[in-house]
Amino acid sequence: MTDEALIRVRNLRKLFPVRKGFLSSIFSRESLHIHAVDNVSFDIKQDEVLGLVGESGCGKTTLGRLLIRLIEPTSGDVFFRDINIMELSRSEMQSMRPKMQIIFQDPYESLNPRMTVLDLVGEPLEINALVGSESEKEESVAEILEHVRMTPPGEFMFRYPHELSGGQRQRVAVARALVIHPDFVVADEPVSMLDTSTRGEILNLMIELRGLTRSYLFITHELAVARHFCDRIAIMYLGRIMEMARSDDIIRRPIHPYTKALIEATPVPDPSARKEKVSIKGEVLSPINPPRRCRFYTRCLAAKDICSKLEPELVDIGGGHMVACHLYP
Amino acid sequence: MTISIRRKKFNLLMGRARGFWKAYKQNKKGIFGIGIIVFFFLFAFVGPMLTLNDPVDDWDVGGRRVPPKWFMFLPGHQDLVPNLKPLKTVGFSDNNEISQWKIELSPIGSYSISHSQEGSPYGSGMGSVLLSLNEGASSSSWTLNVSKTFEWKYDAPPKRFRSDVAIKAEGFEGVEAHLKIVLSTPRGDQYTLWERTIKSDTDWFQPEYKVDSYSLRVKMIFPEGVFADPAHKIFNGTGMYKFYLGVCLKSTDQGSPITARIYIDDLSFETMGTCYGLLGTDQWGRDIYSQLAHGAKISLAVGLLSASISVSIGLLVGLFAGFMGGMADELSMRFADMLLIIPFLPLLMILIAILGQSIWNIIIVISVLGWMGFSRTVRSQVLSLKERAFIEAARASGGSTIHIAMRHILPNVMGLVYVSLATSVPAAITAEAALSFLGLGDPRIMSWGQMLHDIVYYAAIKELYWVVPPGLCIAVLALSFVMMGFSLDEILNPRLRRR
Ligand SMILES: Nc1ncnc2c1ncn2[C@@H]1O[C@H](COP(=O)(O)OP(=O)(O)O)[C@@H](O)[C@H]1O
Ligand SMILES: [Mg+2]
Repeated sequence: MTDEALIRVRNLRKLFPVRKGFLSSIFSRESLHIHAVDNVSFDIKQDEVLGLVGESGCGKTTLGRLLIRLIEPTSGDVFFRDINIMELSRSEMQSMRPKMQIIFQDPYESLNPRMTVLDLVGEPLEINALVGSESEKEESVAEILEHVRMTPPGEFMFRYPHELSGGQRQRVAVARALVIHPDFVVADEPVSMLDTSTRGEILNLMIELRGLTRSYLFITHELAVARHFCDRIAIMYLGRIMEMARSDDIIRRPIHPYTKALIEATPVPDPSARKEKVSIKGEVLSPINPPRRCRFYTRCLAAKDICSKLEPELVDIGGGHMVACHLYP
Repeated sequence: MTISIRRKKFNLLMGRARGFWKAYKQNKKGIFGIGIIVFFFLFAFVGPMLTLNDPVDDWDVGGRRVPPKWFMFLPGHQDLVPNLKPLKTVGFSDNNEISQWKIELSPIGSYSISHSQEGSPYGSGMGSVLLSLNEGASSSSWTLNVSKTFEWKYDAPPKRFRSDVAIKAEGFEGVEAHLKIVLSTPRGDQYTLWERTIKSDTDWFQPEYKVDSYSLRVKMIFPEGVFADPAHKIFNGTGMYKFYLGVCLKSTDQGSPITARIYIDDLSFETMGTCYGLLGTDQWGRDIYSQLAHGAKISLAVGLLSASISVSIGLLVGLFAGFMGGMADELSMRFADMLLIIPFLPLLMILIAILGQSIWNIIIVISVLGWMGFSRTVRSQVLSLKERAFIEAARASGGSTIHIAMRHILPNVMGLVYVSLATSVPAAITAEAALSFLGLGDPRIMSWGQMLHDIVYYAAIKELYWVVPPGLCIAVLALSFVMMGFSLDEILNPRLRRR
């Protein structure tokens, strides 16, 4: 790992307008927005795996899609090396695509049911004209299928997604993302839809395949998985990053009350060892037009006065450990 | 490696086709539909070859409005009489044809009979028979009969009879000829259907009226006049009937040598029966079977062409609207709505009235008015497909809009396309039938709808042999396509598949 950043994210925001009924749109001029990603900045270094952890609905997928510009941000920039991809034209962006890939959460949805494995995995090669002929394509596909342990490749190439198990489908999705050797891969909860036994296989596979690409954004809602796989972890809550540090640091010395709560909520193998301490209250706030204060304020047991008035910034408290909390200046 | 992969690809395709056929075979509706469609295709290709009659232009191939021949075997129809053609061929194109006739001369030896290369301009074929008076004939009057005797073995009279002749006279100096067409019965009655006297040379001429039992001049031979049915009057018993052309020559001027020559061509006689062919005849005596067979061709062509055009339009518009969204979507869908709310048949009629009654206009108008429903289906399918993750995955791989539309959206709407094709065909077939039925069809083309139109126009609704074939064909063909469409739908769009 070098310190040079591969991806630099600056003040990225994504607001989704909330559709209102016809009548209420007449009577109220106030516009409602879901603040899915709200002013997020961070770097992903060369050859680094950054984990993005947060509960469901906090904006992880939206952030991941923004990073490779599958959706347009409301504001903010993403730099890939020195290129601001948000300023690229459509065709320039298309030529950037093979450098950044995404593995989707649901392998049942992300594969076209009417294409064979050969066509699915070969598609990125064809689109980006990385193979000259049909046989070259077959060779590249066979090679990557070996990498994702779908052997012998000839056995699987002519199957349709419905003829594969969930784990095999996700292997195909992984092969699809990696076949063009991207520099950066967003893995959006790649194992969350799989059953526990296959999950381990796919995770091990991804660890093995780290060499095929440079950097990952590994999205998950499970801290344990992130710790296993990632160099650094960013904790996200309601569209904002609350804490970000090296994996070990964040697990051993969590600072943000939300991180602490997350760690406590992580299942422990031995039920008797479970701590009874409750460090969180209330429910997740609605992401629609959140007030200008700490997003965690309503649920934080240690909240102070200032927490309800000012939104804390993400600051480095030393050693690359960053936290956004008024309690830890 | 590549060879075996190619093999595998081929096997994959074959496997898919086989899998589809296996699923289709299970479907009774589908098999029924396909069977009937195949039958109609065969009928449309082979059927017209089995008849020489043109469905539109060949009038009076038999009696008018007569039932099929096989009605004879039904109770109450035993008195049906088929067509009778005593003469194999008409036209005297060679000596063989002359020998069909019996030519009697008196006094014997005063004429010579020969074949002439010159034919009348009326009939088809070359040649005529030439009767010429031998030079130095001594008599002052001569008769000759060109006759054909035939047996009438039916108790009932024919529906109609008719005959024809073309004559040319040469060398008429000091001679005059009396010409007549006569039908004589077994009881010895002689009916002169036409007669004329010529006194000088003439070019080819025909009787000044049709020598036909339907002709007024022929009816006037009888005391009932206009109300007489000559066929009924003359053919009132079985036995040998004789049809002949009689020529009576008389010299009017003893001094000059007599050199009269008479050319005869196109001499014919036939009776049209009270039943005809496989399916009978229509109001002009046209062959209903031939109309039905040619109509199958028309219906299938109109149905398949219109359906393919309208489905293609619907597919393109639906893809465009669903994919582009926004203004393009709004505009094209509002346009579709506009066409949808105008009642279909009146709009069709007005357009045909403006554009003109031709089969191509009908095909175009039906297609142009038939795409809206399908475009909405495609649009909604595209809208839902567009949100699927695999589309985003293709975009993430760098796929362009065109790539995504062709590789991901299109294959996923093809199932709808096949189904819609199958269900649009009967709609187009019935639309064409409806137009023709209402009198807006192509008058040069006999379609099933046109047949139904004629039936209603000529009040033949009780003549079941005429009503049933086109009506049944339209219904059965439409139904079979609908059935095929339903079973395709069950197989290709498996949400509907029965558990
Ligand atoms: N296309 C969209 N339109 C409107 N709202 C969206 C859209 N995508 C996501 N959201 C909203 O943004 C928020 C974050 O969603 P998401 O990024 O999928 O969360 P996560 O992946 O962390 O579960 C959610 O409240 C979700 O409802
Ligand atoms: Mg998500």
